[in-house]
Amino acid sequence: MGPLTFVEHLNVRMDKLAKTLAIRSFGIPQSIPPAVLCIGLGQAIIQGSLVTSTFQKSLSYGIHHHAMVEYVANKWELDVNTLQHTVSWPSIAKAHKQGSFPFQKFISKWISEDTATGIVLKLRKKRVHDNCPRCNAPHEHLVHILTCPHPEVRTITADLLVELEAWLTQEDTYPSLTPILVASIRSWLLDPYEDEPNFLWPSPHLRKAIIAQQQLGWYAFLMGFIATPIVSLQNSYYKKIDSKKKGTTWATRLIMKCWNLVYHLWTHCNSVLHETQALDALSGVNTLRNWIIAEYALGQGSLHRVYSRYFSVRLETLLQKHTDQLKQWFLVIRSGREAIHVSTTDPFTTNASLRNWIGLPPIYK
Amino acid sequence: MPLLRATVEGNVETLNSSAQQSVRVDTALESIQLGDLQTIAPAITWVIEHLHTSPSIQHLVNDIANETAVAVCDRSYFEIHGIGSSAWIHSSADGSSWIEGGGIVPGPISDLNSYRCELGGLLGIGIGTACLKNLCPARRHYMLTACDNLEALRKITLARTKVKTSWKSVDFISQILDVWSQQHCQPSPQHVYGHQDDKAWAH
Repeated sequence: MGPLTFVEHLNVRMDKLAKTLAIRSFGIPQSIPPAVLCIGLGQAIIQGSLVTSTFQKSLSYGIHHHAMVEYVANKWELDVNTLQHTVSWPSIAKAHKQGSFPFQKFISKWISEDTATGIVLKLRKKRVHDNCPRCNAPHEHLVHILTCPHPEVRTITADLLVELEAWLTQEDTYPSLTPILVASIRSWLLDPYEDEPNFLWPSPHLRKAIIAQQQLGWYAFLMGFIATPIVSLQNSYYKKIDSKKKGTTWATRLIMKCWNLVYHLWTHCNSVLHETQALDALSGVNTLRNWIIAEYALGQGSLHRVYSRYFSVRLETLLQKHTDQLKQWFLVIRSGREAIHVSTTDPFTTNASLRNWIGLPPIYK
Repeated sequence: MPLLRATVEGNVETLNSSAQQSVRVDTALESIQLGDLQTIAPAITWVIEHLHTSPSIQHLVNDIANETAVAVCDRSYFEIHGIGSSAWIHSSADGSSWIEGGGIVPGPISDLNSYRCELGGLLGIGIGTACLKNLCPARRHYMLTACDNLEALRKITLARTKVKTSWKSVDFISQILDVWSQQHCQPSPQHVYGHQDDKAWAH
């Protein structure tokens, strides 16, 4: 190797000067420089931040991101500023980008509370009852899907947390952080309304990071809203162990893991709903049976003779049939009566969810 | 061509547009003392937050006119602190006469990276050269402009019409091209291998 050329010498000198300038500015808040006339593209500031790159995308992000933060803060009863400044947004953006389209859709629907929970389906008049298909608790909501006390759910949760812990270890997570993260998530999944578990804090930095996350909540954590101090802590740990990995990449992958955990619990809920009799029960099969008995007792009455064969089956035999066949029987008889304006008052004449389930035309007032 | 309507929602502040003529103008001085010479004040001030010169810059001005002067920049980027800075220097061929400047690179942390910081350094070079515009000959002349980031270096000789707003750090790129387009001196890009400190130690 020869001596430095003059240009290389100047480059080294500028490298040192730039470092000095940067170090001097640590902790000093940056101000936006004044706009410059006739040089460059002009200056755009959105939400107090300069737009410097990919103008269209940045403007769109600036506007919609703030609207989204306000929406989420309102939904989760969090302070907008806390949410805006504590969450590692770049990690969420990367995780969202890396996910498949169906997965992106799933998580967006979940965060916007559009996922088909019991409450949502009842509101949409798709179900009569909003109970949990697993534990039958009323008013099934998103948090309940994750924290359902059904033994099967508890087993799945335990398995998923073991998997998460193994993954955190495999990813060289700061050793003191792993048990605290897992214990906090486990505690929240067991009882989201219980106090935070007590920890012996190995360092003030870790305590600060976990407290920042506690302010956001562990539901937010599972949704991918990881507090920046946790990401910084992990980044510092990677540097300490001379790893080339980055805290932000770790956070992105952790978010994907959390979303997967949520997805598993959601698919389990769905499998119980669709692979058992739960859906029929929640849709009103018991009400249907009761009103089939009533219709049967009423008999053919003024119905056309083609309906007579529907009454030739014994009631006990009819009631033992599959839900689809019960629905079909009731639909035919009730449609026939409605067609000849036979006046009846029961849940099937007033309840839109039941009518929708059976296949009767909607009620027009 | 039909006029299209666009609606911008949210808190967007426009500082420079054809419809808004009263733009916020930099309150910089019209002239500035650099070494022993009075020069034009820089249009962009963040690039000279730090500004230092040799006692005399006459030799540098002569070398720029003779196309023997060099301009070099470098950057420093601390991702974890969300801070990036750039520094630049114009030097006479023998290194006796020089102007060096630098500052903290503005912009959102999400857009900050070593490439942007390097562009900040190249903008500093352009601005520094523009300060000496009136002292340099009114004919096309070139100055060796060195930087250790090839991608950033490629941007300084682009045609202004090729610039796309979908590029990263397009604000700096457009400023660099505009600054150079307003002067007779033009950059002659040269790549320099960065972080040569180790090489110096080895030697």
